[in-house]
Amino acid sequence: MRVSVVAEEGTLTVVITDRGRAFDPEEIGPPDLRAAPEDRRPGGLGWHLIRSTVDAYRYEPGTRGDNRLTLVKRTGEGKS
Amino acid sequence: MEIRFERRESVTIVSIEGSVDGATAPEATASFRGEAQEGRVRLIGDLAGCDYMSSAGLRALLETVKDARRRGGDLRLAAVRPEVLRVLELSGFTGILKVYPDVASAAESFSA
Repeated sequence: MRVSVVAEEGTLTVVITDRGRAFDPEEIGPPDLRAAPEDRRPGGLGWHLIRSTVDAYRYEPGTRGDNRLTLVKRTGEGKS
Repeated sequence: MEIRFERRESVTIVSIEGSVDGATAPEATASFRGEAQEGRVRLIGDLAGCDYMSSAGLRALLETVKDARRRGGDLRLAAVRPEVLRVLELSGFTGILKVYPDVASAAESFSA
């Protein structure tokens, strides 16, 4: 797995590349946050946390096993 | 991640230091489960030293609270740092788990 972090004016970009099993994040629906614990099914919270905390993300399944996840967070610093 | 146990009367305090992520969450789950299997089902997760909680950590907490409640007990959290509390809030876990400012008040809640 490779991780790169680029801090530019007003933006933090993190790119994570791995060789894990590719999947389509859009198929992962939002979790039911109001469900009782016994009704809660495991899984899906990681993507929920990503969607909740970053300003933009892009997942690109790799054709040769290199999947790339790009996360962009606006930091409010800098000129832009 | 480091885990320490302290048994105090009917309550077990499980202190977790470091990160609870995909690599360490199974150990956290096993630690809680070990106590519950010995009948120690009043569990306090002392997270004063826990600085990171991933979705795998959330899964560990969910499995633990379900197991403890099935056995008639509960998992309650104490001294959660703001950055971890934000993860709990975003995931709806503050509606599931009771969170106390410190271990003493969490322990007191079990005797109420």
